[in-house]
Amino acid sequence: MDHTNHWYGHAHILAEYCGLDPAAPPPVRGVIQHGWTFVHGLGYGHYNDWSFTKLVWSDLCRRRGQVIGWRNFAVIGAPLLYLMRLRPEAPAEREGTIWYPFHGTLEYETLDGDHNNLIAQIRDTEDGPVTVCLYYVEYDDPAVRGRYEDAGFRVICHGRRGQQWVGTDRFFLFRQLDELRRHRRVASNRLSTAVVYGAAAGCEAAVYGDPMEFVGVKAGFNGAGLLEALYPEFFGAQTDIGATSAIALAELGADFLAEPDELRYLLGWDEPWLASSN
Amino acid sequence: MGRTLARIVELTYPGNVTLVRGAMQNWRDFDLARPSGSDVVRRFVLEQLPEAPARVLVVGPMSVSLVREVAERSGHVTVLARAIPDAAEIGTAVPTAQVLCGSLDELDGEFDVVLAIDDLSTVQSLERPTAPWSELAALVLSRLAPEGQALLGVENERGLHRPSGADDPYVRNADADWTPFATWDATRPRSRAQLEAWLPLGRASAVHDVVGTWSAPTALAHGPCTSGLATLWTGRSPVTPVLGLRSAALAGCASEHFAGWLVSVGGATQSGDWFLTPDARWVVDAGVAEAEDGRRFTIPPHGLSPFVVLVEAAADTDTPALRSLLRRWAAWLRSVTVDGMVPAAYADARLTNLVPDGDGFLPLVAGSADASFESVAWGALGSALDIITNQGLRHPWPTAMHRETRLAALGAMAGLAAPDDLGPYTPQVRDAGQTRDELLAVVRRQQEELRSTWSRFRWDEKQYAAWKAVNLGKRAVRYARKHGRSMPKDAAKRVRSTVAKRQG
Repeated sequence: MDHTNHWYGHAHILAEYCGLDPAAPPPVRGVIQHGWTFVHGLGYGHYNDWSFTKLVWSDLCRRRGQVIGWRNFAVIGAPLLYLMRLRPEAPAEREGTIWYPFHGTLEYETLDGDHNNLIAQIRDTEDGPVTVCLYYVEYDDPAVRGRYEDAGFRVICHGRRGQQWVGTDRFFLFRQLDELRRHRRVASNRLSTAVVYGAAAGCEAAVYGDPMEFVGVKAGFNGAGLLEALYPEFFGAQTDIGATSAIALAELGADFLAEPDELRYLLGWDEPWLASSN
Repeated sequence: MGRTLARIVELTYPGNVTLVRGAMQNWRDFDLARPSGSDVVRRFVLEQLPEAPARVLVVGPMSVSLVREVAERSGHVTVLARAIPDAAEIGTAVPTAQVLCGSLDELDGEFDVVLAIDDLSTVQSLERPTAPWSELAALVLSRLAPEGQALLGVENERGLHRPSGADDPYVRNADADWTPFATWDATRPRSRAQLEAWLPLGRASAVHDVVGTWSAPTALAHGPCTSGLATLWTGRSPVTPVLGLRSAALAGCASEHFAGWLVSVGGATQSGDWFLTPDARWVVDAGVAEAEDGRRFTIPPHGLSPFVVLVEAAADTDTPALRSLLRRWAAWLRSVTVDGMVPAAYADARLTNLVPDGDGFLPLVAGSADASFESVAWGALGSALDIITNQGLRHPWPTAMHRETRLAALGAMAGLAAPDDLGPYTPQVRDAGQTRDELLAVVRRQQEELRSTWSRFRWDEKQYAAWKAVNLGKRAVRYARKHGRSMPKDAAKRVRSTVAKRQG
């Protein structure tokens, strides 16, 4: 199966939801959307026009794919929402802000900008304790990580995404969900997966600060200007939690979650009538 | 199937474009033909437009050239487009225009003229929930100043252009079909009566029939007397289902199956019954159509065209009627031919383009240039046979008859000698872009040909068996005669008896 299905432990979470062994998810008959995006749900490297089933989070991704000639989408909702079903939230006091500086990727893009400037903007805006969560690419960079630590923020990393089925931290989303549920606010300098997750998990969401230069981003995948037009509710230091939460749940496909039996069929995990799977 | 990432476009747009909620990044409406791109709609819009409107709103991705022409008249044009590439193209081509890219509900302000020509389905954004038609129409009219004028296009969901088009909207799965049917939307007018019921009270309004196809209208009609002429005009298209249109015309509801309507709300309306084409305005009165250039003819009852007469005769194997019509047509064509050339005015002599005029005919639309008699005559005959073949209509010729032979026979009925090369005029069965009806016609035709071929095969087998029996029988008789005396008498008798039966 597509190795990106293992990223962030997506396949593992869905396996647990489906009543299978989460440590060894069966091959998925398709490719699971691995992050929130304003494009079609898949990354630049996925050019699966009519081939693989594209297991996307929301119908919006299906629509966006349709207009560029892609077909064979199945809207299943985000693995994070399945995890939220598996781990219902226990009532607890929320405090402070979890701040996600927008991240680059190991393979393609990097961020180029002034982290000190961003740190100053965070200090000016947030009035409670701040946890800065770095993506492992930046977390592993002592220069970047050190700046946030030196600023007095609590600096964490949810884990490693994995690559080619190796090094996947299948509890990545578990940690992220726990952290989000501990914080009152989620913020970032670009509207991204973490902000959408946070809004869906009950945080007040805010996108502000220097968005930095997204070096190496592929044409059409940089949403600067468009995101503000499409999702104005998220932008600014203070936002309407009701509006952002509703949008986030829609973006994650909350209305499209399948029950375990159906999901097993959608993922190709329950086809005894076939001689082999995948 | 190649990579399709090229269809993800870079986010670039000029300074007169503003992105708002609903903006679509990777889409282009300009890749699809729209009514606003047609010559007749352009002519109508420019005729309707006040001399110098102060504020004009264009709703939807109207043809860029028309936006430019409107902007030349008005100092203040605002365009709403849902797709960023379209908005960028308009913004670049018409720098004086303000282009808002996104959803209709993001639009503010009041306008003296509102143009929403290409159906409100083109303002639905995939980024937003699909809105009912009435909500969008109300939004459009809410932007209209009290003394302003709006032109609103509505595609007829029940128009004949839909089932006869290359893409049946109820089965296609094209890129534009992210929410394809919208039959849940009961507010959308699906008949002229429903549209008229929607018209706002207290404002002058008029409904015009859009004739042709929705993506490429060829005429606009106003007034009930134009129905026959509009029926004739609709039948000019080779993909118009001939008999469906005829049936609708006889039922008095042909106008319910035209491509759509163009509604004028507010402003001055052009009174009377008239019929507008890209190059002529026909006034229709008491069943007579008269063009500005003096052309005049009596509209046949129910818009009966000579081609429908031919189709009926062909289906009934009424070859005398076929010959009579075709010889009259050929005689008329010869009468207008000068030195072997047909003048441009008569150079489109297809039966779908003609109306009876005394003993002859009158073309509805002139040809593009003078043309040779051969090309006009055989082109017209080929066109008739093409429609009959592709629509699977009944005809008097044998199933297995070759296409060129069939065309030659049709020409002979008209008294025309076949040219050396019939190839350019012979109908071709398309192998792509066929309509559902055309594909069904192919299936039917192939079933008939297969049945005919099997029948012929069985006949030939029978003939061969008989030939074998006769010839082998003769050999047996010779053998029996030669050796009969030495054969047992009863065996020889059996042989002779068997041979006699087979021969008999």
